[in-house]
Parts: sequence; C-alpha cells; structure tokens
Amino acid sequence: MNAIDCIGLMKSFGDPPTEVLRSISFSVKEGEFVAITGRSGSGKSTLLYVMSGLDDPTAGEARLFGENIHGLEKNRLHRFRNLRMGFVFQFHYLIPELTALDNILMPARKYRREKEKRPRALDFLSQFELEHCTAKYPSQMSGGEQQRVAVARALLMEPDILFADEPTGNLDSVNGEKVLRIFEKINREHRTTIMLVTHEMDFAARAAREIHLMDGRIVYDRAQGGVLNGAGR
Amino acid sequence: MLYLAIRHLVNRPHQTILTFIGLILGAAGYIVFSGLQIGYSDYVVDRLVNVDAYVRISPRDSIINDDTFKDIFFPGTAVRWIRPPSGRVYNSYLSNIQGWFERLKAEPDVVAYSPQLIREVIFSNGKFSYPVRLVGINTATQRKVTNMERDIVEGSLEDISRGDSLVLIGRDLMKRLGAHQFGTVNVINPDGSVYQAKIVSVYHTGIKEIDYRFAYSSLSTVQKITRSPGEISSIVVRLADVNASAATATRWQLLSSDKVESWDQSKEDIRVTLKTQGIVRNATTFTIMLIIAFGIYNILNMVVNQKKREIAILRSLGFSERETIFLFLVQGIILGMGGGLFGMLVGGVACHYIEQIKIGVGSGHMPMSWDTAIYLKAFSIVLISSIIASFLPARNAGRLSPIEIIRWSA
Ligand SMILES: Nc1ncnc2c1ncn2[C@@H]1O[C@H](COP(=O)(O)OP(=O)(O)OP(=O)(O)O)[C@@H](O)[C@H]1O
Ligand SMILES: [Mg+2]
Repeated sequence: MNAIDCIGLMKSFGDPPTEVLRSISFSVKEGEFVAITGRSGSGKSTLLYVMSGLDDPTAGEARLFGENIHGLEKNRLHRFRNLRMGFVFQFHYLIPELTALDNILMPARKYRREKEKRPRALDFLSQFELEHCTAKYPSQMSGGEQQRVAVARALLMEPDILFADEPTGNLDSVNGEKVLRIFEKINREHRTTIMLVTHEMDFAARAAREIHLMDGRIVYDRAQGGVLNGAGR
Repeated sequence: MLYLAIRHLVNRPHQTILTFIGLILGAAGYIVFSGLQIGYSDYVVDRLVNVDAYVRISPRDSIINDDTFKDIFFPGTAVRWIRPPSGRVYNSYLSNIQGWFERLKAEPDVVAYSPQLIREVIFSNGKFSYPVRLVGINTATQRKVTNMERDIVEGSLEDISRGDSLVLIGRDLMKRLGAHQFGTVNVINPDGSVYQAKIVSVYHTGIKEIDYRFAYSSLSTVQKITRSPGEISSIVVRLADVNASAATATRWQLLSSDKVESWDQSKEDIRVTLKTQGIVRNATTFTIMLIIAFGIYNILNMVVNQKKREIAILRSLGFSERETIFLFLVQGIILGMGGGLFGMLVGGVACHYIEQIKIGVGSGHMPMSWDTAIYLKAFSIVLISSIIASFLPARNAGRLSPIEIIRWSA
C-alpha cells in the first residue's frame, strides 16, 4: 500500500484566488524518504500542510495509507495524527513549562500512555545526545537541542509518516547534520516514511527521492527519472 | 492535559497567586458580608419572634359605617342615613377559639401554638408606678412557640405556673420599680381594683420597648386579675419555616374575621429593612461575580494569546479542539475551586474574629450567621464565575486554526 497518494491537489488563497498548488498528483511508497524542494514561495509548506491534513485543499484528495485524510471524522483525524503522523517544523514549538522529557512525552498523554512510552522517550534522549537535557526546560537548551527534542516528540508514538518543514532551517550545519542523521536512521530502521521540505541541496541529494516544486507544480521528480513533462525547465 | 494545565498555572506564579488572592477575597468578602447581614437579620427576626411569635391571631377592631347595618333594620331596602353611623367596635376576645385550635392542630406546617390573654395594667411599688402589658400565657405551650425562655436571667418560665399571682418581669422594669426577685408588686386594673403579685422570674432581652413594658403570668392569673374568666385575646403560632409566616398568615386571614398577622406583616419597617438588605446582598453578589469573572477572563485571554504556538503544536500532535478547550477551562476550574475553598476558610476565620467584637446589645457581641448556605453560595459564586470567565478564552483557543499559527510564526 502507498503511504501517500495525492490526487489533483489544488490550493488557492484569497479573493481573487491566487493558486499556490496547481493540481499536484504523486504517490509515495511506504518507507520512502522524499525531499521536497523548490524556491521560496513555490508552495512546499502549503503542499506539506495540505497532504498531511493540517490544511484543507481547494480541490483534490490526499490519501494516507488509503484513507482520505480530509474526509476523516474529526476524532478519527485527531487519533490518526496522534498515532500515525509526526510533525517537525522549522521552529521547535516546545512547551516552555515542560522539561525535555515531558515535552517528548506530551503526545502520549492524549491516551494516557505516558508511562508506557517513558522508556522510549529516555531512549531517544540518549540516542539524540540529549541525556544532559532530560530535566531541562526549553529555555535552558540550545537551538539544536531544542530541535532534537522536537524530533523525538514527533517520533514518540512511532508514526508511520514523518512530515518535516525545514527542520534544519534554524540550525547550523553541525546541528542540521545531526537532525538529518536521525531522520535517516529512523527511515532505515523503522521504515518510517519521511516527507522533508528542505532548502539544503546536500540534504535533498541524500534523500532517495526529490520532488521539486515551482509555482505550485511538480517540475521534477527524481524517482520517476527526472524532469516531468518538461514543464518549467 | 490536566498535567499541562497545572504546569501552566505553576509557571506563572505571580498571575496565579494574584488571581487566587482575588478569588479568596471575593469568597471571603461575600461570606463576611452575608454573615453579618444575615446574622443581623436573624438577630432581628429572632428578637421579633421572641415577643411576637411567627403568626399572631388577635381580635379585629372593626370600624362602623353604612355597611355595618345594611339589611339589618330594613332588609332589602336601600337606606339613606341622615347622619351615617360611625365609631369603632372594640373586640377584646377572639371569635371562635375552638375553631382556631382545631384548624391549627390540623395544619401540617404548625409546630406549636399557644393561647394568650393580654391586658393593660399598672404595676406599682411604693411611690413608683408604670403601665405594663400583662400577658397571660400557658407556659407549657408558650415555650414551644417563642424563644423567650432564653432571655430569662433569674428563675424560670415554669415558675409562674407554680401558683397564683406569680409574674415574670423585665429586669429593667423591676429595677425601675425598686422591686426585687421574690418581692411583691401591686397590679392595678383599669377599673381600679388592686392585686398583689410576686416576682418569681426575671428576664432581659436588651430591647427597652420590651424590657420596660412586658410582664408575664399564667393565663388563669391574668384572667382572674382582670376579671375576664375563660377569655383568650390571641393565639400565637410557630411554623416550621419562619419565611413562610407572611404567606401562611395571609392564607388564614381569608378564612376568618379575626386579625391574622405574621411577625413581619405587623412590623412593616423591619420588613422593608430586611428586604433592602436582601437586595443589597444580591447586588453585592453580582458585583463580586463580575469582578472575579473579569479578572479571570483577562488573564486567560492573555495566556491564550501568549500560548498560540503551543496550542498549534498540541493540535498537530493530535489533540482535539475539545482537549484544547479543556486545557484552559480546567485552569479556571482549578483557580475557582482553590479560591473558593480557601475563601471559605478565610471567610470563616474572619467571621470568627468579627463575631468576637463586643457590642452593647443582645448576646453582647456582633451577630453573625454561620449558615452553611452562605459558604456553599460563596463557593459556587466563585466557581461558577471562574468557569464562565474561562470558557470564553478557552473556546477561542479551541477555535484557533493551528495552520494559521504555524504559518505566520515560522
Ligand atoms: N494563508 C495564506 N494566504 C495567502 N497566501 C498564502 C497563505 N499561505 C501561503 N500563501 C502564499 O502561498 C505561496 C506559497 O507559500 P508556501 O509557504 O507554501 O511557500 P514555501 O515554498 O514553503 O516557501 P518558503 O521556502 O519560503 O517556506 C506564497 O506565495 C505565500 O505567500
Ligand atoms: Mg515554507
């Protein structure tokens, strides 16, 4: 089964409408590592939000593991998000009132599984070189540490798909590299499907597949052998 | 979510403590205010009931006019008076005592009733003489109707029924007469006849109008002294609920030509005072609620604004709109419950100290109501206003679109 099927996704904003996504269709197999690239304003973030169900498309459909994500009943969508999707954003959005450990455990609280997930959270802390941060609050951590905590939080519930929007955008190359290594490891070891929006050519090149956007269209999809219908290039 | 809500509260200690203090003061203020007011009105009611009973049935003085003689002298014909009749008929006894007794016995709300004979006499001792309202009572039933026994300082209520011509009199009147307990005084009837009565018991209410004016003796003694054998001039009644007095009196009034009045109907001024107090209390309640609600609303609104990013991330972690609402609503509930509980405590302690303040009347210190309803009401006021006030910001938080926040704060 495909992890993601996007069928004719369109998104426009405002009135008169400006089209940000123009009929985007592609599929991602389970366990793929996909980089989404494109210039600023090309619609990368919008695509990520729409296909993950955070935002609604103007037209078209996004299926995650065969489920039309926008047709899901609210509570099932929340459940789906909690158990099967992970999000990492450019900004870490950690909760300042909670320690690193509690932040990581936050998703488990929805179904009161924080006890069960605690060993996994602690394991992440050591894997991500964050042991010294366990009891620290976000304000006491460096940007790189904060972002790795955010990644651990996204991975706590063992999601099937990880959506990341420029997770290394605010990090220096050393910290960016650490985050990317984590992604690669998770993808390799758990076959977690990864959708990574990134500006870094180097990171995009390391992904098994790269989808390049321009003005809301896919102009290049490396998995399918390069330039698509010659558009835009 | 509860865990996070608590972390939120703990992590802004200044705001939390200030809100808390506000709530505590609100609850405590309400308790002290109501305690004093209700304490005072209970005190007044208690005093009035003490002398007057909840409901008093007494003879009606009727005014004579044209209607009085209608159809009596010339039945069926219109009569035009050259000089219309006028005057007042003095009834000194009740119309149908037996009928009243039967009705009172059958009424489920009636706790007790007691017959009285009230007569104006003069008490004299040596050179001193003063007008006194002498009340003949049946001690066995009277004690169930009023609380007068509580005010007896020497002897007992029973003592006046242990013989003939024994009286219970106010300490102030006794001093004024220059008399003493177990001494005798002269009781002078309006017709001039004089009897001797022995003071066996003494009371003191602290209310001059009562202490100087009222003396009590057994029903048979008063009937004998005033030469009105078998006569009863009023019936005093105690009901299960003092607040039902007026309504019950009005209901009974319809059934009889006698005058039926509740303690508050016969004391219009007091009734108005108590009613005004009630209105002031309600207005205060409302003001307190408004202040509490406004404070909590402001703070939570601010917090929701500060926490937009976190709300967004919580939503992306799969928490629902409802769980987001809960996160903020529960903060209001925690504040309200805590503030309400501590407020009850602080209010209770404050009331305790205020009650110690010495004043010259009644039991000698500040009247204070310890009615649990006041405390429950204070708690509910605080809790309910907190819930209402936190609901609006909480709902706003729930309505925030996570994607908007993530997009614009990135
Ligand atoms: N809520 C919105 N209302 C109007 N226009 C929007 C809205 N969100 C995004 N856009 C527009 O859609 C276009 C694509 O935005 P998007 O954020 O997807 O770009 P991006 O490829 O992620 O860019 P960057 O690399 O800078 O993050 C932009 O021109 C942006 O101005
Ligand atoms: Mg973007």
